[in-house]
Amino acid sequence: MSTRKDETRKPDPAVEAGEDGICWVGMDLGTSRTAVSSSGGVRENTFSLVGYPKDVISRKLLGDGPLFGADVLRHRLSLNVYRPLEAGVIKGSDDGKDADDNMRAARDLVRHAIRLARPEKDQLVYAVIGTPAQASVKNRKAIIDAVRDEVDSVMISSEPFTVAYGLDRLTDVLVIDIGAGTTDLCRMHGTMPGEDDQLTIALAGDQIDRLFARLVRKSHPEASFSDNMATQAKEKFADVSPNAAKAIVKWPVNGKPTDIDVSKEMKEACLSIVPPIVEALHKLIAAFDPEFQAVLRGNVLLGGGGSQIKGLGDAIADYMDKHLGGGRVVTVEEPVYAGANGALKIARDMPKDYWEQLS
Amino acid sequence: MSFRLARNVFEVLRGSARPRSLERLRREGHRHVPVLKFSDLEALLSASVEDTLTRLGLELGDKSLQSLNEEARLRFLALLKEREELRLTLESLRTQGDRLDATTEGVRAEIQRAESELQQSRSVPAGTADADLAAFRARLRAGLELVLAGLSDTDPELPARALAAVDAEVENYRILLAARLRQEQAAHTEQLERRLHRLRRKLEESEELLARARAAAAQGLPALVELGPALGPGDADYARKRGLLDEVFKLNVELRKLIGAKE
Repeated sequence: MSTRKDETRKPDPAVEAGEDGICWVGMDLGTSRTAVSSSGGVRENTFSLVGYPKDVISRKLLGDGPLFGADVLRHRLSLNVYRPLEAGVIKGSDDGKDADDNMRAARDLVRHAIRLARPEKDQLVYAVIGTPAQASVKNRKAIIDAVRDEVDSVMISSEPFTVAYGLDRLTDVLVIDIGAGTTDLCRMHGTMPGEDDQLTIALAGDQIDRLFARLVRKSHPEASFSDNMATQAKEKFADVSPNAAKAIVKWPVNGKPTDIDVSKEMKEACLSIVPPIVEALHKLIAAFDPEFQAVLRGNVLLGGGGSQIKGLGDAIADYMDKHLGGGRVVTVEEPVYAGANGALKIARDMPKDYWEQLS
Repeated sequence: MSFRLARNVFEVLRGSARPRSLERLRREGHRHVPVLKFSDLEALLSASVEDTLTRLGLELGDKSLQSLNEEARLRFLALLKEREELRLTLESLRTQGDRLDATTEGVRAEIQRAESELQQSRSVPAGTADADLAAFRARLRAGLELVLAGLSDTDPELPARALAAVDAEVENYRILLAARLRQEQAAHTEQLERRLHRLRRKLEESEELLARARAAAAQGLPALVELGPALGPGDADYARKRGLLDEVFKLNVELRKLIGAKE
């Protein structure tokens, strides 16, 4: 079906990118998941896991190449497993620990993500990659190094900014992006957010998982479960709304699958990130023009994988009511893809000559 | 195109459509939303066939054109139905995946239980009855000694021979009992090992099925993003967005310079 074009639009030679021959890609390289959207209309996501066969037998069984995502979880016993991203950046890119191995894994992960975007063989690939708001130059360099061989041109953009750009919410809005390793907060006021407009806190999905597992181990010492099982339970049951359904898991007790009610522990763990987030929001709001502080409080946008916790937006708004005198929080509709879609939108809107200058 | 066919196509289209709120469309920057009507649909399908023929430089008679039109419409309808069926299949695959997840979890727990049972079975010493037998032998010897002591004119070596005979028989019985226990234990262990083997195979199969269901669900139907047009002059907020894009670009140029300087 044809789409009617806006008759008021005129082509801008600097902007008109010429769709043919170019595949634009938006990528959200997350600690837990990597999401990718492309101008070919594809969007995919995978666990940010890379696995290499451990020995000759594993190689015979699984082949030479690295495995990714769910396949890594499935064959983890036969693989050397890497989760190359930590707090949204490549592990070791700051302190150099295991940097080479993680860089190799990150490079392979990016290659896989680009493959998922399904560019045509003869298309140039221009990618925008979202990074945490306060990623260092070293971290950004590491990401560029990892993707350099896989794309024809690449730009880095702050993750919360990509979310805001994708949703066209560029003025007087506060974006919260809850990932696995970090929570990024960004104040948007119509211009490019500077360092003062962004905050990163090291409390996110992974910390919720760890606290949940610790609480359950304390209240149900008889239950036998792995960290992975705790994460799966969180993904299935995380709900902090007042009328949340009971979270009942079937975990072994003395080898026998037993129903265990973990609702209380789940709620406590999920709510643990609310006070630090509101505290960080407060810092960003308090440092803003007093005339617009109320507007900012009423325009909080919640995204990232962590925003899939049911009722979290309302919990943050309630806490803001009690401690900041009010607030309104809207949760983005597609948390997994919000960053990648925004990055793709930036990529498509970016003038073509800019891409060529960076290629 | 018959009204019925147009309605069928319309229904399939509506069934495959994802409802979006007006608020969300506004937020995403959509200002025009195409509205589909039966007559528009009919005209659109005919026009696309005719346009293709014109571009290919083909001229067909009215009858052939009508037949081609009908064929195109039917193919279009079939493709839409196919996609809808694919969507339903994928949904069912996802449901199956959830069920398999639960089964896999159950099998894992079973394996854990069987393993602990096996460990327990291996750790039970075969000679637990030895202590009972030793006590029985001691009681038997005491009783026999008492009886033999009451006899006045007997062979003086008789008590020693009788006690030795008792000892030998009890020892034989102990050996027999221990052998039976070992056999039973070995049979039990073998049974548990066989069960474990079967459970592990079942787990492997469940995991494989689960991975296949997930892979099919992930690859079968690419999630398509409906991209609006790229930013252009005349768009709302063009100047400001262009300014932001310029800044993103400048930051990246600076980053390259910093990286270059460090290298």
